[in-house]
Amino acid sequence: MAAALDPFLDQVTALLPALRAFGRSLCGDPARADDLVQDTVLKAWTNRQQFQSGSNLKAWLFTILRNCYYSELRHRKFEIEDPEGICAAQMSVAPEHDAKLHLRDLNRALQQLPNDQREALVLVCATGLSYEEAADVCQVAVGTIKSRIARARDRLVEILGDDATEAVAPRSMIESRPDIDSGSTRRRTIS
Amino acid sequence: MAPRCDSKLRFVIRARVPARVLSIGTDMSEKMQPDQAIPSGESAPDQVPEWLGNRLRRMFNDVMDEPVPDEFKALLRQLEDKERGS
Repeated sequence: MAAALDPFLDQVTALLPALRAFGRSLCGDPARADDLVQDTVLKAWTNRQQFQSGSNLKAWLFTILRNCYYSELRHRKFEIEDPEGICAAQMSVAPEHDAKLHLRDLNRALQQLPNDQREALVLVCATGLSYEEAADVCQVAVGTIKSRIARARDRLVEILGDDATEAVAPRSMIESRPDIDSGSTRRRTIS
Repeated sequence: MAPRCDSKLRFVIRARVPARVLSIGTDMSEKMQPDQAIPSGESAPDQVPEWLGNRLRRMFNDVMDEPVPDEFKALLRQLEDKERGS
């Protein structure tokens, strides 16, 4: 079927699923992610001379997609504030499963992270890029990637924490923590 | 393995010291050579608790498993044709 595709395009084709997944975890919106992937493919094709064969095409394409994402963000600054809406639209498929619920929650939580933390976490922990590759894609030091992942993790654990094993999230436990909060308030009142 | 990890995390959250306790893992991994510690292609880090890593990968793989829309094949075909034509 895909008979005589150019070898470069052939490789790009093989990476389309990964690009779509990366795009979706960046922006949280399937349709927008696919637009990003299209832009990425076009840019990659136009600049294919710049790609050194033998180096990591996946990381190269991720870099392009990431650039597309950020340049698009700059053009639509006001639309990034609605993670709930975006995620609701995205996960409209059969949410009755615990697993699906978990993924929807994760998606929503991911969209609450700052961009730099989200991309670092996704690149290393979801796409399977190494720390070095992720650092290349984001054009920062490996240590920066690590600390961004650490911050992303802390935030996600905070958001999803008690929900990690259960389908129903006992949100009140995360938000109020009466034992600790009341204690510190009392102390402050006394002193 | 997984339950142990979860119960530890819960303790951490209730005790409200997530940053300090969890960063122990970070410090350790930072001392290791990342390229030795993490075989490329596998998902890394002990930096991230197992349940979270699994969930992130599942999220990613779910999309990976979706069939690629035809418009992409059409686009690639178009690029290929244009190249041949010129």
